[in-house]
Amino acid sequence: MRKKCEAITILLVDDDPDCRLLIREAISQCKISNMVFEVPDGQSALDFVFRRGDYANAPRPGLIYLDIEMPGISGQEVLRQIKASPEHRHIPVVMMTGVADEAQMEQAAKNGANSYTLKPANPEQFLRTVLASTDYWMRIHQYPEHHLSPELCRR
Amino acid sequence: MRLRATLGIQAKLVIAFSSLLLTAIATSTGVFNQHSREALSDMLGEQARQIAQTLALAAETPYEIGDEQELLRLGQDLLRSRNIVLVVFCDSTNKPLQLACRDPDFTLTRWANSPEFRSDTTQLMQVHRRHLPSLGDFLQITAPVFDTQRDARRSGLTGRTLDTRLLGYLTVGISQNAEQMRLARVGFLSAAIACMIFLLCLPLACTLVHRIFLPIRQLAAAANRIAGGDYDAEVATDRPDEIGDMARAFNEMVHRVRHHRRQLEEANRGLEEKVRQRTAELEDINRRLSAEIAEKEEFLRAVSHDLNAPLRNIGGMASLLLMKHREKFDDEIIHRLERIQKNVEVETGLISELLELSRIKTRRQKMEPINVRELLGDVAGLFEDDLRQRQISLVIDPGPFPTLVCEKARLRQVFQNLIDNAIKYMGDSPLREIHVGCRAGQDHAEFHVRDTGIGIHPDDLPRLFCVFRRGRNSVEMNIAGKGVGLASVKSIVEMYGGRISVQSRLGEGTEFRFSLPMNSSARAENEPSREPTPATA
Repeated sequence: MRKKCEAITILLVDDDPDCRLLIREAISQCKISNMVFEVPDGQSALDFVFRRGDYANAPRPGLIYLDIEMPGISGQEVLRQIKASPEHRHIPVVMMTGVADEAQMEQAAKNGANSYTLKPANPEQFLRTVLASTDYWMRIHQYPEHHLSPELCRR
Repeated sequence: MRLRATLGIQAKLVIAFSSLLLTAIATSTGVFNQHSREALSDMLGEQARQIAQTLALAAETPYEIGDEQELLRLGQDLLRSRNIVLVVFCDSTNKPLQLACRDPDFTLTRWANSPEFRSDTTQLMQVHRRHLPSLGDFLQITAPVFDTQRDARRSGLTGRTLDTRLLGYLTVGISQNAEQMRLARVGFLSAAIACMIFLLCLPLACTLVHRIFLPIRQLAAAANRIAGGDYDAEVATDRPDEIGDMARAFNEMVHRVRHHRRQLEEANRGLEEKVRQRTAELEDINRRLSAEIAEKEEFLRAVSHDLNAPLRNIGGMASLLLMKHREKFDDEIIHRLERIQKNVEVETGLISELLELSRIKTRRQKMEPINVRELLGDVAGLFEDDLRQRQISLVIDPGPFPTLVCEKARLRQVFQNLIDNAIKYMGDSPLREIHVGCRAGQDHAEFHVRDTGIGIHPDDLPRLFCVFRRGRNSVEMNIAGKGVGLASVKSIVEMYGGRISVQSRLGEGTEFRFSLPMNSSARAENEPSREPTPATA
């Protein structure tokens, strides 16, 4: 299965550099070498997605990992803005959080999150989760376009 | 009854007054009429007598000479006078000779044939009432005619002598019509005057009654206003009479009522003010408590996040190294990395338990009636594997268990922690039994969880329920645990207003006893309770 996969561009949004490192490493465990971009906060994430300022030439991400708890613009707000833009709303966004909070989960779902990942307390489990999630979304991207729902095809 | 219902006192008074007045006027008019009628009759009778006497004297000569034509002339002369209607002359045998009458149809023959008109010679000079349709009412009187002149001539004396000769009788009828008409006029006039007086008096009476009742009406109106809640109603008190007294008493009463009412209102206002103050205080306290709880929640979230994130990173790094480079590392490095992972795991669990402990008091769950026996069944199911592995028998008392109203998860946590402890500290005891039972009291239920394990050292007992204080046994025996379980149990039991105690002998076993109120909803509702704020930051 995985051999068929093509590389996708992944945007990683997390204020914790170690966490970013971990996720990047986890993603690199995939057989396909995806392009992984990292930004440390919500503002940069929005600039990257909407190609503003320093990120004017940024590629369009095929998948976004978005941490919820961030200083400044929160993950929820970034999610809301991405999903509010007709051009970008089809980019799959996986929310990540360190704390299990139903209200937050509900809020993320309302804002249009495609997935919600709890950073598991067990580090190994966390790595596995990221890996599985990346794999899933990569495979979604590989489907022939006419098999996909239109919103996932428009890139 | 109906009249009494529809008419007021005033109308009734006016009616009574009017009927009295009418009766008086009618009676006096009637009496007056009666008297005048009688007086008129007497007068007419006297007149008739005089006329009859005069006529008798005048008729003497014609009688004597037998000149009947002269008699007729006399009679007709007399008819010309105003009220004479009938003159009849009879001879001494009472045989009618001549008749003169206003009614030309009333002839001598008819007179002679009507016994009711015929002169009764036994009742001379007496007045009789007669009636003829053509003549109306009239008085009839019969007088004798004597030969007085011849007697005088014969004796040469003037005046009558004893020797008088009866010449005949004459009858005169005098009409009453004119007098009756006059009387009727007088009666009509007096009735008219009475009516006028009555008509004049009626409005007068009405006005009078109206005036008399004015203060009473004012009083009634004021009473009505008070009944309607207007306590400023007052009536004029300047009258010196009984109504004035009543008005003064009424005003006094109103004054008192007003006074009491004002007192009541003031008291009420004071009370309301107090209630408002107290409510405001309570609201303030509630707000502060809510804010504190929210703050604590936020703090816990932050702690949870900030403590967990670096731990996850540490663990993650170790795991990554193991995943990527396991084949390059020697056993020692692998072992160390695994120890790092293990410790991170323990620390993570500890943090989550600590968070749970601090949430016991702030994050309240739904209160519901809980069948404790069912709950114990569930808990026993959880430990099934552990119990079988360690060959421990969990005995749940067959006696009755009460139904408690509390948070299900918390109650489960209490039993779970205690049974978990009992399993952990069973050690190598030959008798391997955990006993759970209950004794229901009046308003509290007392539970016990008893084991036949290794027991607790007496020095450890005082610190048993403190967080992170683990007995020396646990260290010696390398029993997994973090020292949070019993602290949680104590925290939950005490939150419901219960107590927990422990008895233990080293080598024999331990018994935990705790009480819970049968219905802890009242207390739980008084506790500050608040859902955690949904944090989106």
